[in-house]
Order: sequence, then structure tokens, then C-alpha cells
Amino acid sequence: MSSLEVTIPTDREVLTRRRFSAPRGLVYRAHTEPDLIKRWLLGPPGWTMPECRFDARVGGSYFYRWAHPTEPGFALTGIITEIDPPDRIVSRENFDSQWTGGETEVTQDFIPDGDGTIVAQRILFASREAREAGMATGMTDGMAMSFDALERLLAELA
Amino acid sequence: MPEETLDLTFAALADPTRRAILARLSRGEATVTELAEPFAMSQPAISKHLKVLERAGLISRGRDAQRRPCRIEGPALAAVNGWLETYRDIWDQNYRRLDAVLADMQADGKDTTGGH
Repeated sequence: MSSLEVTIPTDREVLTRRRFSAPRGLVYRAHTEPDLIKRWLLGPPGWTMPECRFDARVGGSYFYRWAHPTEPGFALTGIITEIDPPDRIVSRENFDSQWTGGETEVTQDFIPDGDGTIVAQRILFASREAREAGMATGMTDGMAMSFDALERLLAELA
Repeated sequence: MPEETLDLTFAALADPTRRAILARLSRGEATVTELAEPFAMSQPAISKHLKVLERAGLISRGRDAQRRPCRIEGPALAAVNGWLETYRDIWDQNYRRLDAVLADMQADGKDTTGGH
């Protein structure tokens, strides 16, 4: 199991990077085929994706709708602005709620790494405020933090 | 924490020197002189960074007019950390499920796109 790197290089961006033990062709398919996407792009436990469409071409759109037994559902629409199978997908995304505080630009690079693949994802928010609004639910105001957590945080910010 | 404070916090953390100062302060309080040493920076330059960190609520400074030792303030960092942890958790869970999906795909021998 490879660990997930999260960094925030500027105040409008979040980068994630993760290695998978699978060839790039499969990783790309898992990001572009609805039957595969709806098996993993689900967020926290309890969520499902009853509706998923993905039209993998420039100008094509995708649509994800998530549902939960007790929480109100939400959906996301994306427009693909650049696609280069199996290297790269660039798109503009909008959630139907206030989740990200406006449109985000998402770039996914699929990079061969030995017999595996690294997925590098960059999310560019409309503004710093948007990025923060996007994660307002994660706030833990006033919570004490251990030095371990602090060190990890500082490493992520680097 | 008010949102404008969080904005200041993120802006303060966007600078590598200020992150290094926080890393140093996570090991205990320090004066401006002590903080300036490892950075090959003048004390006024360090003081500017400290003002940004203080305004963002990330550090506080002692009242002793001579030394004014700096110390780290937990809640502001915890707010940023909470933001990042939520983000990290969501993608960590997604990608663990993706590991399983990819393992299934490989077991099924469906790699027809040529990999890399």
C-alpha cells in the first residue's frame, strides 16, 4: 500500500499524489469508465454513486451523483478541456452545492512508475476563499494538536 | 475561528520561511535572535515574518519587552490541519477502494489498453 501525499503549494491549489500497483492503462480506465468510477469515487463510508456518466473526449462532460441513507445527496458536473489517453485529463468541475465555492480546474496526470502508476491530481480553486469554503466542514476549531500532526502538516505545506 | 482569520492563516503558511519558523517553534519557544540564526536573515526580516504569523493567530509573543519570546498557538494550526485532514481522508478512502478495483481488473485480465 502506497501512501497519499497531499500538498498545498499555493493558496489556491491542492495537489495529491498516490502510487497504484497497476499499469497505467487500467488506472486510466478506472478514471473514465462509469462502471469502474462508481465503485471507488465515493468519499466517506455510507455514500454510493447511483448515477455516473463520463464522455471521455475534449468538450465531453461527466456527471456524478452521490447518495447517502441519511444525508442529502449532491452532484458534480465536469467539462473536459483536454484529454490525452492514458496520460492526462484536464477538466472544469462544478458541484451543485456550495462545496467548492465555485468552479475548480482539475488536472489528473497518470505517470508510469516501474510496474505501477502514479496519479497526480491538481485542483485549482477559483480563489483562496473558495478553497477554504470547500473544506469548511473539516474545521476543528480550538482542537489541541499533537506535534506529530503538526510536523506532518508542515511537511504537507512544504 | 472566523473565516477571515483562516484566510490569514493560509496566507501565512504559504511562505517556506514562516513554515520553518513554525517548525522551530514546535520544539519550544524562541526569541527573534534565536529564530534569525539558522535562516541567514536579518532580525528585521524575521520580525516581519513573525508579525504575519502573529496576525494569523499562529504564534503569540511574550510580554517581556526585551525578549518577547515567540510561541506557537495550537488552535489556528488545528483549523488548517482539520481542513487538510478532511481532504486527505476523503482521497485516502477513495484511493484504497481504487486499489481494490484495480486488483479486480488485473485478476480479470482485462488490461487491453497496453498499460505503459
